[in-house]
Amino acid sequence: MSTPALAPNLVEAACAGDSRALDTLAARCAPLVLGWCRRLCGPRVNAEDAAQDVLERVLKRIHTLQDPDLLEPWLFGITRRRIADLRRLCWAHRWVPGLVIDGPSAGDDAERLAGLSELSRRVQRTLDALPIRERELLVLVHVEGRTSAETAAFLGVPVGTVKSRLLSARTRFARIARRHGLVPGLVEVPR
Amino acid sequence: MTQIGPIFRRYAQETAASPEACERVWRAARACPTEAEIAQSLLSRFPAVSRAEERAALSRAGRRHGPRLHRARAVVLATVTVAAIALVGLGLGLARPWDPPLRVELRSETAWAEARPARGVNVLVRGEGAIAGTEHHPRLRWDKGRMRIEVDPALDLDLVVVTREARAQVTGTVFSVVRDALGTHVSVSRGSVETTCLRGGEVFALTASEARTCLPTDAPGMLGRARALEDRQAPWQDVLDAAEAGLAQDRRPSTTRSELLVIRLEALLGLGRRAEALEAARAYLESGVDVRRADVERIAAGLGSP
Repeated sequence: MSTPALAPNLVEAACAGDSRALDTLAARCAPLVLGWCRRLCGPRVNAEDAAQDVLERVLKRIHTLQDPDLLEPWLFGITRRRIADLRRLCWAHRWVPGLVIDGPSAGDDAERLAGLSELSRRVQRTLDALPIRERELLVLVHVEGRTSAETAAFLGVPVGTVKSRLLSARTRFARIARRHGLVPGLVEVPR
Repeated sequence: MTQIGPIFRRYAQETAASPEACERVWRAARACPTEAEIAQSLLSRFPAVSRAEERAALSRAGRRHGPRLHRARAVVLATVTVAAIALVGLGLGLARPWDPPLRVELRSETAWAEARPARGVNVLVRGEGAIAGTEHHPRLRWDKGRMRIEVDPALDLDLVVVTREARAQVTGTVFSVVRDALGTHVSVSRGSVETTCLRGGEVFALTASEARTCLPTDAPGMLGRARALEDRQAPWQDVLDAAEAGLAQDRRPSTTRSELLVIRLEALLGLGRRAEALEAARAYLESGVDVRRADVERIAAGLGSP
């Protein structure tokens, strides 16, 4: 599941400072960014606030994009860094009472899972229990259907590393899924 | 067996962002003002004022801008200065070597005893005394007996030996001090010792193989010296000198003075100065002191006339 086709000239125009092209581009990127945030933020970070933060940065820094073809990896880089920042802030807020954090509000786990079926809720909880590196891999490959090469470009690692990490992530996901009672006898299917 | 693929596909469909959510997020991001917009907004609400206008406004409000800054600078400057002085003082204090205090009693009545009361000071004593002061400035008070002291010249110690009759200051030497009824006898084996006899305030710079005796400073001390000279059968002239020195120290009627008068009488007799001895006996009997009256009358009878 990738972004709806983005015309290269639209990206170039946005990079050049065309505000209308920029608005169009950001509007088309919003579903992608919000989807990543929903799946990767975890229970303590509000996904919509995080997505808003990411889009604000996209609007401010679009001129730093070197290659229009690398728009999605660039977006994903911004998203994962912002999510990591927000998770750190939430951790600090949790352990330092009274600390005022200038950032998005904390996430509501019940609200986040409200529109999901029981199966998807369990998948979400299982993903939340994985290390963030493996969660990113599973989301990019299995949820969004990207190839190993695309995922390697997103994460900035070699394809071989993606494959080995993916094997480890599937095994861990299956183990945790069984513990969460997701589906008895769940097996991972190599792609 | 359940496969992982269909589960993730269903999860993907359910977690896909809805158009409403995307619209909400996008509008919020777009509505968020940039830093430049925030700055422009603030300037439009609170127009920038010059420094002169700011000072004028503060003056109108009864606050003086300049002196407050000056006072703050003065306080900071004073604090820094005091801290610097304290640090320098602390540094100097730490740089100064520690000079531990000394308090050692030296007492050995029958045999020679060796002591090392301070670094570089070796003392051999048979008598009584004490060391006070500090390791770099030892002050040795010697009361009676014999003492031999050795000081390491490399340590540059300020060592002073004090008796009732003398004060010996030494820097790196070997010397001995004997204090008895005759007075204080300082003899130098190596190096140099500056000796001050307290009676008369004479100062002697003694070098190797030189010695000096400092006489007692009061009438009882001179009485003791005169008796010691008599016991040692010293020349009568020395006994007479000691007795007369003691009489010169204290002219009030006292037991000490009467004893000194008798010793003087005996010394004059020993020297064969009969006329002076007869005069001395008469002076003693007229003084009204009865302690040695019988002895004096016997001596006077021997002289032929009371």
